[in-house]
Amino acid sequence: MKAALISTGSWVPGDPIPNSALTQFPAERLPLIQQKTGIAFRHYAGPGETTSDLALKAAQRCLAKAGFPAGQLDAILLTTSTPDRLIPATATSVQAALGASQAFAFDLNSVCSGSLFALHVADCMLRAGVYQNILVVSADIYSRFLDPQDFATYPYFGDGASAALLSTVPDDAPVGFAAAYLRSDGRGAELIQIPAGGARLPHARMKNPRDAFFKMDGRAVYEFAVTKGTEAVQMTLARAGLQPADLDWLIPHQANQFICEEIARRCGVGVEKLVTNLARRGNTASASLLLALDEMRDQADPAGRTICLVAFGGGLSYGAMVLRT
Amino acid sequence: MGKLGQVIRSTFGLDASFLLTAQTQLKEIPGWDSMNSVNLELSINAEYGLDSSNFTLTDETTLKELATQLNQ
Repeated sequence: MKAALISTGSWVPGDPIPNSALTQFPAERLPLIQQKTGIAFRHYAGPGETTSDLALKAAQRCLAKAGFPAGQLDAILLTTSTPDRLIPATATSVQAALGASQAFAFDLNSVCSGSLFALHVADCMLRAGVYQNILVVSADIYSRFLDPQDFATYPYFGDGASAALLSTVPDDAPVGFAAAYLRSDGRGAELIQIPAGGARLPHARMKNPRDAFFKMDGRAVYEFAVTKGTEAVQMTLARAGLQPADLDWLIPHQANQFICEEIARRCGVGVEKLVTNLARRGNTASASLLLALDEMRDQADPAGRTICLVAFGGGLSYGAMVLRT
Repeated sequence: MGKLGQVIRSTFGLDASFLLTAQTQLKEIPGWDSMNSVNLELSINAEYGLDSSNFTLTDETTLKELATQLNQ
């Protein structure tokens, strides 16, 4: 048997926030945001909203679309790098709220590659034949970890959540996950980080308050993303025995419009097959991949599609998967 | 590099191990890009009380050239 994508769901909080609302920055510099990244709007969680709140809404939408009762879930994998708390896992809050009484639940953190890594883990768990139904939920509230005065990071992230239900199907089913290629490179660990809040630098020992905020080497990350994103797509297509022309949709992690377009170009995938929503959502970190997939599935009939998902992010981490829906 | 050096180290999160000299160009500063140039602009606004029209930041601007602009 193999695993297939049954349903997706997503949730973004509040009203869309335009670039013009970021009044802490000079008005004449705000056009740079869209010029350099393609981002025009993002959403922010409200003061009382938590990562698990967003995750729950996405999970509920996903399950409702499939008419699937939470009580039949075997496992919940929640991806986030902005958990409700260091402990316990944010996934357990979602598990309890869903009433998924038969499921075990845990968090998985591979920053912006998290959802892709979780899909692959779930795929492997299902192929092993031990479980039948797994929910992958991805949620991040990066607005809580960004320096509002940092033009190099603050404007680009939005808050959001997404979810995917995976179930076993027979090996001869026309749907399912076809191939994957995932890698990590810890030599680049310093390029994307939130320095404080963990065992390495507890908040109480911070000397620089800015260590509590997200930081990223923009130029290095751009080069990493386009190079390794391209590698991941090409390797995955090769493993699946596919050509770029066989794809219906290429869905990258929604970090930057120009990274997405460059990966598509280098892979020989036409821009008409490139799926992006970052102009309206910003970079929603681990939620972005499934958020873009869910919104695309709502816009266009997902039946009979060959889809390549590609992600890249902190770790460094990167990878791609091909699936048929 | 005095005050300007401190502003740059603070803006880009540089510790003392990264050497800043009068000949250092802005593009040689780790993290320098078009987005972080806005951060430097804002830091200079705050520390020097200068409007952005009083100075120019380019990839090739050296710290000596920038200091001269800020001191004029």
